[in-house]
Amino acid sequence: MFQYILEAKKIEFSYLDGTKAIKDLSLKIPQGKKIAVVGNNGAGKTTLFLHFNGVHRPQKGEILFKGEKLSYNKTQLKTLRKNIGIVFQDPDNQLFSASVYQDISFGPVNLGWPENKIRAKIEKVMKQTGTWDLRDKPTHSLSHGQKKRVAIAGILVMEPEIIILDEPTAGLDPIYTGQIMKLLDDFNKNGTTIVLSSHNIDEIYAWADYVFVINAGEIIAQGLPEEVFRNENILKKANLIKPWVLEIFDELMGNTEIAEYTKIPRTREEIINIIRNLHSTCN
Amino acid sequence: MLYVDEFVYTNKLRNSHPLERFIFAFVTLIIGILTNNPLINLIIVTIMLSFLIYWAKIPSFVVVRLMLIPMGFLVLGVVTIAISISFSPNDMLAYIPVGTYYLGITFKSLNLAISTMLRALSSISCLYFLALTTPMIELIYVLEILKMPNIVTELMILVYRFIFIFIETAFNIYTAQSSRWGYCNFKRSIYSLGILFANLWGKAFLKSKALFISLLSRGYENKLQVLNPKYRFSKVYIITFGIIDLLLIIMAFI
Repeated sequence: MFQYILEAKKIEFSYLDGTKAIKDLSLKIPQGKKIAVVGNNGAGKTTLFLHFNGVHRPQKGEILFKGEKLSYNKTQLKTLRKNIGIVFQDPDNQLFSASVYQDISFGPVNLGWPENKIRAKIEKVMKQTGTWDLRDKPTHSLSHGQKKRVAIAGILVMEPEIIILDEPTAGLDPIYTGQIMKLLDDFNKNGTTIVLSSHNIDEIYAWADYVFVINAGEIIAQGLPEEVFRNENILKKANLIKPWVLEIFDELMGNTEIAEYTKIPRTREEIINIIRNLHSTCN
Repeated sequence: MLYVDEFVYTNKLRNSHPLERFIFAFVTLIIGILTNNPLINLIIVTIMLSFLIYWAKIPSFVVVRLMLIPMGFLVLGVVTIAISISFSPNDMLAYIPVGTYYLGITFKSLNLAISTMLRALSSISCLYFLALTTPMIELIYVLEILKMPNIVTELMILVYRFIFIFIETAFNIYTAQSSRWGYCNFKRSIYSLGILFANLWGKAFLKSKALFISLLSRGYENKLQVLNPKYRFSKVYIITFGIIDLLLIIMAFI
């Protein structure tokens, strides 16, 4: 039994123009886990994330942080936003300063930390995210991937308990995608809960502990990645494609008797190992 | 403008405290304005331009081109000072008779014109020295040290950043339009340009809204407080700048 750090209870939200973005949605985020939220464009992922740190207020239902209901008063919002960091999809919407260093310092200064601590923390995070060499460069001369890493650094530096990332790897090349995922894993090992949305199903499948599938403002499925991504109905309904590792594994399962390999592979390496073992048993 | 911005960030004088350069440019500017000796002005122009080209390593064609920008205004202004009207052509170096008057240049007016020109040029070179060696962010930092009200520096930070987003967005729309023949003739160009601007306003509005949300998420409370990297004072720079200004003051006023 996990402890739930964040909960949404039957929330509903529509925008001013009448679009219903969230309909009767409930979910529980277990503490210290790696959570993925998948769904097609316009499914309501970003809107949902903005509920988690109190920017949006549900018109019905409630949000609970560590079991406590959000009341949206100033002090509570402050602690909430200190503990929940959101990295937005478009880094140009997040980076407000032309100086990389200034931008990353913004969050910690708001938290009121002493200057020495802030400077040490900034340096550490900038080195972790590979942005230390960019500190003298103006924001507008950075590439999209570099901006994205600066935006992520600006959130990590605040040491939030939950980090929410809205498509963190969209537009990044495979090398940096790998580095970012690795970095998130490191933070996760130190106890940080990670919630991310992505369109890259293969990446989610290899990485996540638990998956929520969101479609048209509703959670239509949740569970372990190998369960959710095997359910053809859900995949079809949410416009998703089965992860290739799982696809190949299921194909192998149908043709040969490898039922003893009960551990379902999650990564490229694992499936390759299974195929290699298969070869050696055949010979 | 954007083009110049790139040289500013890579100039070789950037690695020390921006306050040094700010004070040097400012003090030299005041010496140049107060002095009555055109030679001092000429020396200031020489020093500033050679610092830019040889020390800061800004390509000379950039510096020369920038110096040429205000030249048009300057020449026009100076010519009107140099030419005077008089009843007699006695002390004029050159003149054209216009009716009973004489339109010409006197020794005095020529002197005044030249010293005005040099004074203006020395001021411009001082400002260029500051502008080309100190990126906007560092200039804002200097203003903060000089106790500029917060609201001004915050606005400067945001405006400077958004100039680039604005231009980039406009350029992207322009590219998308022109690759679909949006600017093939005059009529279509006017139409496309109209759409471009309408879109820019909408986008600017959305961007500012998104920025506000992301600032809120990072604990924004009506104050845009940030830390700047630690800049170190450099003894070499301070001594060099100090000696130059001291010599200029001695030559100009003693």
